[in-house]
This record gives sequence, C-alpha cells and structure tokens, in this order.
Amino acid sequence: MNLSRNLPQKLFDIGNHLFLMFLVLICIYPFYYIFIYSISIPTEAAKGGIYLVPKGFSLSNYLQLFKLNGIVHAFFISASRAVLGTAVTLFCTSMFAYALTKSTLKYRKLMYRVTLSTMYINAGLIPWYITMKTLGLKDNFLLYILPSAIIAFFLILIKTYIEQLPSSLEESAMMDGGGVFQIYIQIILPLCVPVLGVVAIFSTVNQWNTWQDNFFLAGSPNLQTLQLLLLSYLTDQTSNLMAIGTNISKVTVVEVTPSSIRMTITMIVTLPILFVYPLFQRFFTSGMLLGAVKG
Amino acid sequence: MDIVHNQTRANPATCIIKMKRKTKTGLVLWLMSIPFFVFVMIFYFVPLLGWSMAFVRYIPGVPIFESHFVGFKYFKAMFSYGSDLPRVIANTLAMGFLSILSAPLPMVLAILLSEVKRLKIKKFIQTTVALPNFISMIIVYSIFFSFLSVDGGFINDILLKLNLIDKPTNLLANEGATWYFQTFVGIWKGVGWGAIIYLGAITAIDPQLYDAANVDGASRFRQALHVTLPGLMPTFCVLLLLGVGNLLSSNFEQVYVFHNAIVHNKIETLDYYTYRIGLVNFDFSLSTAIGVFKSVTSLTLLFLVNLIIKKINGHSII
Amino acid sequence: MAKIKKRGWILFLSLIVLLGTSLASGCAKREKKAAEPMPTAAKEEVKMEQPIVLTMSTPQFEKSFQAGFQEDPVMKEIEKRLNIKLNIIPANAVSDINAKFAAELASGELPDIAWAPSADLYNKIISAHAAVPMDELLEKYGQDILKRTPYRVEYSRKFLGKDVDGNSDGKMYFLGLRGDSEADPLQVQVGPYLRYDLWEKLGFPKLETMDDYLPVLAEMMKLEPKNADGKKTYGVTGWFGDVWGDWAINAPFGMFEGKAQIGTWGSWDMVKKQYTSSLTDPDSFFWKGVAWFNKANQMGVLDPDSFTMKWDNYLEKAAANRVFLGWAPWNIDGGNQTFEKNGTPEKGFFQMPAPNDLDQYMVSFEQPQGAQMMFISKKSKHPEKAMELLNFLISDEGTELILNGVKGVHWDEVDGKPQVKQEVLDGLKNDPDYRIKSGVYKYHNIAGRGNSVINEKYNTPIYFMYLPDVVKTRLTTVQKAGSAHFGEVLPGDLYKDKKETNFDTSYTTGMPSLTDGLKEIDTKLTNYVKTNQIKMILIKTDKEFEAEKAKFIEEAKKLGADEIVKWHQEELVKLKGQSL
Repeated sequence: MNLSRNLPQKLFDIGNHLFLMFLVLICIYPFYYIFIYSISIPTEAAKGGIYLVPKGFSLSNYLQLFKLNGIVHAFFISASRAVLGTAVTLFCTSMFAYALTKSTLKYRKLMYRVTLSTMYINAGLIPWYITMKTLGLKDNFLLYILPSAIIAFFLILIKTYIEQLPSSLEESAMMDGGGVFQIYIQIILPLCVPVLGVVAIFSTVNQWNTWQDNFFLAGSPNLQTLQLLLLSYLTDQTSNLMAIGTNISKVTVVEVTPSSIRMTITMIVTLPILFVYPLFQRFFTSGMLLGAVKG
Repeated sequence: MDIVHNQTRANPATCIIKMKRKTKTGLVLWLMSIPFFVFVMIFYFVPLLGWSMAFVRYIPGVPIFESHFVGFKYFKAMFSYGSDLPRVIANTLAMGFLSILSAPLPMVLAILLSEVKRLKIKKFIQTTVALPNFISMIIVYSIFFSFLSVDGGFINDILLKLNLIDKPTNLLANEGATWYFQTFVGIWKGVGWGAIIYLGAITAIDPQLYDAANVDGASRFRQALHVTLPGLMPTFCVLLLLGVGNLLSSNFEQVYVFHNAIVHNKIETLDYYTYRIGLVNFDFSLSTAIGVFKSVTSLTLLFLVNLIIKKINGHSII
Repeated sequence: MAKIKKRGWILFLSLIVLLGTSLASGCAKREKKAAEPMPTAAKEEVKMEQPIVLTMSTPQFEKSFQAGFQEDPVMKEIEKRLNIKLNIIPANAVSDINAKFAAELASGELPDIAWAPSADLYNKIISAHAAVPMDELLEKYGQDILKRTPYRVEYSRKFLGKDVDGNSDGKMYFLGLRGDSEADPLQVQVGPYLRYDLWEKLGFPKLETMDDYLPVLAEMMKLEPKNADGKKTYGVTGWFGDVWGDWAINAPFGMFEGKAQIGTWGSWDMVKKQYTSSLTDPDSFFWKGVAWFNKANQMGVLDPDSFTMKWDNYLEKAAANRVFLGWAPWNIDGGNQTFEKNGTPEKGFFQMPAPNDLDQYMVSFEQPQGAQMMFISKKSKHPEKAMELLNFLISDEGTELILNGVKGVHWDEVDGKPQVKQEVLDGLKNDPDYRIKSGVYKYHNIAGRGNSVINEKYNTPIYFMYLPDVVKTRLTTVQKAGSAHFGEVLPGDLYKDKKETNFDTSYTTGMPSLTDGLKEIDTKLTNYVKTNQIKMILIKTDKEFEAEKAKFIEEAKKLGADEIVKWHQEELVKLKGQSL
C-alpha cells in the first residue's frame, strides 16, 4: 500500500460519502415534510408554508384515523396478505425459476417467455373481474394471495440470479446423488437468500399497498384492507368539502383537512414498511452470505 | 457434463441407474414447472379471451357471441383522432428514451453504496434513498409545488436572494423543460428503490474474484469497474430489455398530476391520451382495442430487440 | 451469525402460522355475524312476519359508512313500516365506480335495487336486459310515485328506456330519486363571493359588472397586501392545473347570464331556450370569462401560480385568506372558517348581487326528473317489495324521514309545523358521527325528492334545515351585515327578482348520442379549448389578445365547432316534438 494509491481512494471515499449524503437529504426531506405536516395543527398546516418545523402540534389527524371503524381489522387483513402473499410468492416463483434454469426441462424457453409476456399484457377490467369471480375468488381472502403466486418480474430476477451462481456447487451435489427438488431446497434456496430478500421486500410492499382488488372484488367489510379504508376516509373528507349547499350542519369538532389526512395516511402506511425493511435488508446487505454457505 | 458422459460410457452398469435418475429428474422438473405454468395460463391468459371485446360492439351484460361484430373498427378509431397522435407518440418516446438512458443510475447507486464500508451508515442510506418510492404522486406534486411556486416557493426565494435570477421562474409551467423535469422526478422517485435489486445481485458475485483482484493490486475503483460492474451486467441487461418493452408506457399518475395546460403539448403521453379519449367516450370496446394495441407493440418490441441482440451477441437475453 | 439467521426464519415462519390461524378464526367469527340475517331471509316464506331482506346499491353519501345492515333509528323505522331489512351498499368513490358497475353488470350480479352511476350506462342496462319493467308494479305498489312525481314516470318512459340502438318499448325501467331543486334559500350556489369587510373599508365602490371588480380587487390588494401570516395576497386565484381547472373560467360567467355550458362548445340559454355556439361567438360568456381572467392577469390581480395549482393548492390559499374573490361557497368556506377561528367574525366573504342587470340568473340546477337513477334488477326475488321501498322513498313521509329523522325522536310537530329538536341541532353541530348514529340525513342521496320540495302536509320545505326560522339562525356576522346593506334578510334574497332561477337540466335528455364523426370533433375541440383558453390568459396585451382570439375562433371553426353546434340545434328542434 503506498500513498499515491491511497490518496485517490480517500478522495473517492469522501466524494462518495458527500454525494450519498446529498442524495439522502433530497430523499429524506420530503418524508420529513410529510411527517411535520401530519403532526401540525391541520387548519394551520392548510395555510401552507411549512418547511422545517411543524405549525403547532396536534395529533388529531392520527386520532381521527385510529378511531376509524374497523381499522384494527383492516390492518390485520393488510398485514396478513403481506405476509402470506409474500410467502406464497417466494415459494412458487423461486421454484418455478429454478426449474426454468435447468436445460433438461423441455419447452423451458417457451414457458419463460410466455410467463414474461404477462408483464406487458392487460386483459382489461371486465375480463379480469369475471375470471376472478369464476375462480371463486370474489369476496374471498385468497383473492389477495393466489393471483400473485407467480409474478413475472420476480421470476426474472430470481432466474437471472440463479444462473449467475457458480455452477460447481450444484454439480457436486448432483454427483452426490441429490434429487432436483432436494438440491432446490438444500442448495439453491440458501444461496438465493439475497435475491429472495429483494423479492420479499418488493412483494411485501406491493401487497401492503394494493387496494384495487379489494375495491373491485371484495366488498365485505371483513376483507377491507387498510389502504382502502384510509383512502375511503380521504375521499369522504374531500367530498365533504365539495358538497354544495349542504354545509348546513357545519361540524366544528373535526378539524382535519384532506391534505393533512393524506399526509398522515402516508405516514401510517409507510412506517410499518420502514420497520420491516431492515429485517429484509440484512439478507442482501452483507456480502458474507455466499461465503458463509460455501464455507 | 462431459465427465458424466464419459463415466456413463465407461461403465455400462451404472448407465441404467443414471437413466432412471434422469427420467425421475425430468418428472420432478415437470412437477416443479408445469403447475405454475398452468397457473400463469389461467390467471393471465384466460382473461385474454376478453380481447374479443375489441372486435365487437361490446355491451356489459350481453354475451360476446351475441354482440355485433365490427372487425377492426375500434383499432381504426384509435388512430382517427389523428392530428394529436404524432405529438403524443413523440412525447412518449422522448420520455421513454430518457428513462432508458437513466437506467444505469440505480446500478451506479448500488455500486457507490457497496463502497460504503460502515454497515450502519450503509443501511441508513439505503433505507432513506428508498423513501420517495412510498410517497404518492399527489403528495409529490404538492411538495414540488410548494418548492417551485412562483410566489414564495423555496427555490425561487433562494435564487432571487442570491441574485441568480431577476424574475421567478416556474419549472412546473416550463414547456421546454418538461421532458427532462419529468425524467428527473422519475429518477428521484425510483432510483433508491431500484438500487435494491442490484444490491441483491452484488452479493452473488464470487468473493474469490475480489480476492484475486486484491492480490493483483487493483484499487477499489478498479475492482468496482472490473469485478462488480461485469457481475451486475446480466441483471442490468435483463432490466434494460424489460425497459425497452415498456417504452410506450409512461407513469400515468405522474403525468396526470404534473399535467397542466401550459405543458400539455409536451407532457401528454400515450397513456394520458387514451385516458383522455376514453373518458370522453365511455367505450369498453375502444379501451380494449387500445390495450390490445399496446400489449402487442410492447411484446413485439421486446422480442425484436431480443432477437437483434441474439444475432449480434450469439445469445439472447431472455 | 448462523444462529441469528435461523432464529429469524423461525420467527418469520411462526408469524405466518400465527397470522394464518388467527385470520381464519377471525374471519369465520366475523362472517357469522354478518351472515346472521341470511337465515331469516330463508325462513321468510314460512313466517310472513319476518322482514324481507333487500340489497340496494346507492350513490356515495356525504359521510360514508360501512356497507351492510344499518342499525340507526331511521333504518329501524323503515324496517318497522315496510317490513324490509335493507342491506345497503354505498358507492365508494376511491376508484372508478362506473367501471365497477360495468363489471358487475357484465358478470350479472346486481343487487335487488341498483343505482346506475352514469347516464352513459342507461342504454347499456336496457340492452343487457338487466332491469325489470316497473309499469305493472307501479299500479300496485307505486301510488305515491304516480301521484307525486308523474313527470318522473313520463320522463323515464320516454327517454330512459332506450337501448344502445335507440329503440324503446315505452316501458319504465328507471326511477329517479333525489333531484328537484336543492337550492339553499340562504345563498346562491354560484356568484361573486367577495371579501365584504374590505369592500366596506373601500367605501362600497360600484360593482355592477365583472369588469368593475378588477380595480376593486387591485385596491383590496393594496389595502391588505399580506394575510395574517405575512403571505402575499391576490385578488383572485385559480386551480387551472387541475383537470377541471377551467370551471372557474366558464361556469360562473355562464350562470351569471342564466346560461349553461354544454360540452366545451355550446351555450344553453335557459330562459330563451336557445342553443348557441360559445366558442365562435366573440361575445359569448366563454369569451367574457377568458377575457376577464386575462385582464386580471395583466393587472396583477391574478395569482401567478394559478396555472400550476391543483384544487388542493387552491384550498390552502383560500383557507389562508390569501384571496379576495371566490365563485361559490365551497371556494371560500375555508377562509371564512379561519376568520371565525381567529376571533374576527366581522371579516369574511359575502355573496354579492349578480354582476349584470339581466333579469335571468342561474341560481341552482334543477332536476325534476330525479338525479339518482335506480332500477330493479331482473335477478331480484322481491321486485314488489323493491317497488314498495322506492314508493316510500318518493313519498313525502319517506323523504321527510330520510332527511330529518324520525318524528317524535328527532323532530316534533308543534302547532301544525315541524320543529327540529335542539339536541339534533346540537348533535349535528358537535358530533361528527352524529349522522351515522342517528340516521338523520345519513342517506340523503336516496331520499326521493330534493331538499327544497314543498311538503304537502306542512306547506314548508321538506328539508327542515330550510325552514325560514332555521335558515336565519345560520346567518354569519358578515352575511347579516351584507344583507342589511342591501336591505334584505338573506343573501339569497338578492336574487329574488331574477326569473327562471333554477336551471332545468332535463332539456337535453333524449338526445341521441354523438355520431362517431362528432365524437371525434368533440375530443379534438375539447383538447384544443382546455389547453388554449388557459394559455390565452397569459397574453400580455389587449391587442395581442384580440389577435389570438381571432386565431382561436378560426381554429375552433376548423375543428368543427359550428358543425357540432348545428347538430345539437337540429336535434333539439326534433326533440321539441316529443318533449314533455
């Protein structure tokens, strides 16, 4: 190690850190803005001009939302679909992806390409609605789980990842007499932990944020997701403001505004993700996993 | 594989066992793929029967085969709003190409992140840069508005105070800057989230390669260039190709919220255009026709580029 | 390391199991509860006194509630009177309700009584044979409908029964609920809403035309250059960045003259019953609006951010009282509330007299044919019960119940006149959930009639909040001062001399839908107008404006503006032969 080699390296490190810090700043600020907006006094915040500190302090937004009828159940439904849906996606998609990497599998290219096409095709609402209903998924919790068992994008990620893995491990396992399924479980899955971590966080967030299936196909309050419940409340607030000529019984108690509710909803739905994210993060942050498995 | 073959040839006794295992392997592989493929067919391709709606005058509640057949009428109708279409397609392609140009950015960010050695800092940065992904477009707009507004907007205030400008500018109503500004918004929102994929892919790179590079005395920058970057290339190529397939789709929500009359001529993309004409007409057949058209073009584009790459490179990406 | 990893997986797996099992049990339990009324429905044939279960999809309500059977006193009253247990499914406007309805129609699962969310769907419902003809049921179960709203029946038979090809069997398939006029006697729906206290300070300068407003607004900006928080104020601002941002440019200027905008190209004069082109006539209200905003911009009275603002941004500025003129109560309500809260109720907005001396003005929309179109589904097992319910909703008693609550519980009859109980007034004012709990005004959108219909029994508005005594209690300090200045009791009285104040929107119904060629013109024209009228506001000089206006008119003609107006005029003439 000589100095001439160390200096540019140091400069790069400093530059890199500075750049990343700048990035962090422009990415974290909007979120901070949403946070201080959500804890400001809503009517004060509604006048605009919030930059660094909240305008007054009030938890009325949060209280208002937490008071919503059925919010605990809705949270429960959303969490369940996130966890169960992701588990199903991980299991099915990774197995399919592994099978598709095997050159001995007939028609594998065809199957891969056909599956990949699903990223670009859209049948439209009515055919989708009728299909789901015919499959018995209308007003059924499985509606949230089953359709996402195979997601083309995740399939591509996992397959690409598996193809990159050093083939020696798999070959030696094969030589030892391991069956395909056994190898998938014992060798491939542990090796795939980083990409499965990536897919898991993507899938969890997707599941957590999706409400369209709920809106169109699950009318029962038992199946209401958190997102739809909160969005319904938001539409309520907005339409209340727009109701012409019916502001007769102006309720003076609630002092939330559509904007303050929108900000608070963002906080409420994002915070759980932020708590879960680090759990997945360590699967793909430390580069030691591959080494650990190998050793 | 060669070794296996040699062995089988050399030892006919084990040949039968190997054969048996091969058929068993084949069966297991079928079991590991066919059910999922059937699943894909049911959930994604059976609904495509609904594409027939594009060829009849569809009325919800009236069975397709009782509907009036009209041929390609709705496909023709799609193009009959003529004069707008070239402009709309130009906008879509321009913003599509800009977003393809920005495709390497998540990868670059992932490499830069991997250069941060303190794990806690790294995790912190990783988490925060992903945050914009969770902010709904409506809020994104209200934040951009409060920063960019002519009257009391943060950016204008600073620029005015620094005497960099003498009159407030309004980026949100700047027709010329629309394509670049919208690309920037897209990057800002997606780069940190997109980097996650590459962070996962980096872990797949064989650590021995780094060790070897270290022995050769390669600097960390050189390691990034010669080990990390090539290691990420397969993932990058696939994602890039997928992006090409998406050339005609834009982020509808983003266009919708940033749309205003002043920038209309530059911001209107195909998705917004179909929304606009669909909304007016309330026509299920027409909107299906548009969906069919988009799906077919995207897939054609995707497999065409894939084919070209195969011709040049010898092997295809997908 | 490995240990931690293992533990993580175990944790993850056990979480899944935990969630899975509790979910299964939780759902089962809840479902049981929800499914309870079902057995009663099944038994109903054995024991006739068991209530009949009907499902009904409805429009969105002002305050939403969860779908299902409701337990409030109003619903109990309906159950008691009609022996119907109503499973109510309100629309949820979170996403596209029309698309959802279309999907339900396509898959054939409509409730007993269904609400058609858009006029574009009526003919599709007929073509799909999804609705039951009501004619025979009307004779047996619909006496109040026939007696109180014969027009709705006629109208429905004549105009709403057509299939997609325009054929009709002359039967009645839809019944309109709500509609009529919902005009609040307190103030008009659209008018110049001005900062009254500043106008008073300026010594009540003359405001006879909209052009008079511009210099006054400029004066106001000098008088109060900053709001209470030190932010710059403007005479007027807009939300042109939103999809409906052109509303403020077109709608109010039309209503001032008693005209409505049809599409983006036409103008309907409700008194003269005339249909004219609004784009190609340089003196139309359309051009008055664009020119007014252009002048406002030239004078610096218009907020420069108007062009990129969304409705949300507008609301912020209005609530911060950074604007002096609005067009409707919902434009300026936030500002009034802020003044109230800051302890300055003497400041605020007042609805000024009409900015012209015409004798016509559009105070509110009127829909004698009903606003919310309901039909009885072919799948319904109890069409006669459904008819009974619809009949009740239309009757005075039903509308009265939905809008004001149960007699004896929420209001009393005192000296032959209805009187709302004080606790109801207090509840509405102080408890945001009062409507949901009490049922009062909870289902307002399925009341049969509009708020200002006259109740035959009491000879008063059917909505008791419109009773003269109640209206007076709602006056704010500014409204009292303003009305006194003009020598009236209510701001709404300023418009009492205008003729044909309610706009009847039924005149175009029965029009055939646009032909493909006209649809194309409509799309192109709308796009051109929506983009360019807003750009025209930015023009710097009057001379340039006139030149651009000439260009605009020429381009509109090229795009077929005259053609589409001509088609409408001809079709309207044809319609006159069969109009009611």
